[in-house]
Amino acid sequence: MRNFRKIKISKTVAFCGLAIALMSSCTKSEDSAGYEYTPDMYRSPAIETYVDYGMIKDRMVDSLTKVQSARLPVEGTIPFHSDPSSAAIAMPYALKDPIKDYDAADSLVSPIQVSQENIDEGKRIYSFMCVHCHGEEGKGNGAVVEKAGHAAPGAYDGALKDLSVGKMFHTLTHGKGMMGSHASQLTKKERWQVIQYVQVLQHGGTHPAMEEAVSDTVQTEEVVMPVEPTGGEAVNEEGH
Amino acid sequence: MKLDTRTPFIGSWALQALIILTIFFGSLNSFAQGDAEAGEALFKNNCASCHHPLKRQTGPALKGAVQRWADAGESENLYRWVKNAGALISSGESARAKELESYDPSAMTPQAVNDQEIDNIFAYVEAFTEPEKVAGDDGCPTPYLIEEKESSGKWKWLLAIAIILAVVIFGLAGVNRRLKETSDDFQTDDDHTYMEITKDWLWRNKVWVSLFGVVVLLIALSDLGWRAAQIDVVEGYEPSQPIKFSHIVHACKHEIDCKYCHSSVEKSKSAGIPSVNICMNCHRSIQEGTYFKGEEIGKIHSAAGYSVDDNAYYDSLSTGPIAWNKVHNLPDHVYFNHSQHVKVGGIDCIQCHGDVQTYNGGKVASVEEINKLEGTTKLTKPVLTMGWCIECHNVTGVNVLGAEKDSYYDEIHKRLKNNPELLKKFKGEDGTITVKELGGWECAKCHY
Repeated sequence: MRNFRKIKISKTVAFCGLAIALMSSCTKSEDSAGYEYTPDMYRSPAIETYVDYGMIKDRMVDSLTKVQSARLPVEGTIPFHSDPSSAAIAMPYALKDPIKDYDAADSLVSPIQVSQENIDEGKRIYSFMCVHCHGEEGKGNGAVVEKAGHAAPGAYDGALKDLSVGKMFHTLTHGKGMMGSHASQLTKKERWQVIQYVQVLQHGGTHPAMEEAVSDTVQTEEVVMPVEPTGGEAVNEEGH
Repeated sequence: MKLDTRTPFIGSWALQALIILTIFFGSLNSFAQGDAEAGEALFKNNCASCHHPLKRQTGPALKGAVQRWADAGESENLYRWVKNAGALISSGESARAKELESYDPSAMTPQAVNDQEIDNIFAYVEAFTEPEKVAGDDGCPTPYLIEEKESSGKWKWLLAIAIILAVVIFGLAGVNRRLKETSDDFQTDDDHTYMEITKDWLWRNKVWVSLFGVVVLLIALSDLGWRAAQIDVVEGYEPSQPIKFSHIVHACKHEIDCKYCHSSVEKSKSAGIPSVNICMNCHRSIQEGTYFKGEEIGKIHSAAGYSVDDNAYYDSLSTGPIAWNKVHNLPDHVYFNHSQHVKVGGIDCIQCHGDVQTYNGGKVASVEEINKLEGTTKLTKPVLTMGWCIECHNVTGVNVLGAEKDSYYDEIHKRLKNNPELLKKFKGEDGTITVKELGGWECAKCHY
């Protein structure tokens, strides 16, 4: 009888333990995304972007974790462009030293044509890549400067008014002073497009090269100009 | 941690008074000949992009510079240094200039200022005190001031304790009974175990017991059903992150666009988790945060091998990636492309990710949250499920008219123009050509 009771008690304890284990297995941890059908499809053994793939069959392989899976292109390779006009952009940037080559960059010329299209694209890129430091009008008063206390960049209509395009490109590529390199965020073409828009900011609203073009068109197409503001939809219809 | 929200308001008044007083007395004491107020404007226009009074930036911290030049016995050369450092170095007249030349590879730019202006600038620098960063009201939620999350495991412990207590009580009662049985002056008239007594009780109340059993079964079944419905639904998933990064601070308070950090969103399948160099674009200059001071930003610095004191990266310092936890994860058998949706389709980030600028870390928004936002397509199925994808493909129109020349959608435009019957079929009743009609419901669009 005594033994019988003992067994009963240990059984009860075992049952309770099991119940607790079951219940705890049902609660959701903060770092668990929840129930998954095909979990090996969510955490796949194959290499996926931004996934730590050190886990192979539930076993952590330390030599695989914390290794950069995104690889840089082989040194000296250049991207292929079917358009020959892009070749100049595809070539690697020769001036490698951020500080020593800064003055040498002064003589660089943009490989892309100044056009309204490029300026518009530059403006669009400026609106999400530059505006938070350099400010809407390029006065160096973006929110990161004003509110977060970042070192203030010079104003495009002030200290940086006469900054050459080459130096701008060099700065965008390698960084200068407190500004870091933006080469990982912007392609070379995008950098040159932003620079076209910065030139617009430097010259109070119009690009110096476009200014001449505009004055040219005014001379030749004087009659057409007033129609343009209302002509936007008509162009669309024509395209249709 | 809970901050009193009133403190910043009172603090700002006290702070302003303090700054004014400090500037006033500072200008009286340390640099009598300079005008700190005039110096402030000069400093901001000419010096601030490279210098900070207290922090090492591109150039050294300027507070105490006057003293340092005086200590070297070259007070007068400071003016020459500011106006044209290169000339001073090459003149060879200043030992301190030679010393400073080796300090940093980036040379000090010549400044067009006169002696009086230099005095004003240094008066401002000497009087400068770091304005305390306060959490002001700017319409953004307060980051990381949420009270400690109530421990989700609390009830488990309570239950465990209750069960252990019950076991102890039963055990003691059993012991008690055994003692009573064995004692001479006590005769028990029944030899039933507790189990037998319980069984007997259950049998006598069999109606209630079976009713209770049915209720428990129903609850268990509905719970099972609910859990089954949650399979592969990840709404509200907000994993912990190695750094207490906050989208509220970056995107809402400091107005940084999503695309600045997630810069591959227009070019790639993946939107991109910013690499450490992108963090460092700002955090070389911003070395302390409002909420955790240098603690959390320091993690970026150590990941980059960056020394705050010298404003320099060192090869000798160990570097390493920041292992962020992935939030939005699609299974392998689904292909999704960000650039197709953002660049080609022109879909706003909030359509799928919700109002990220109100989250701290990454979080999977729920479809209800997204539906509340202005300008989003209203959907019903849970976010990141296939139902949700195809529901949106069914109602979202494709602007083939605005397609870039000679692009894929331009080709579709041409073909539709040449085939009015198909165009009519595609436009259907709603009059829009939806993603579905252009193949957005084909299995192989996403599963291949």
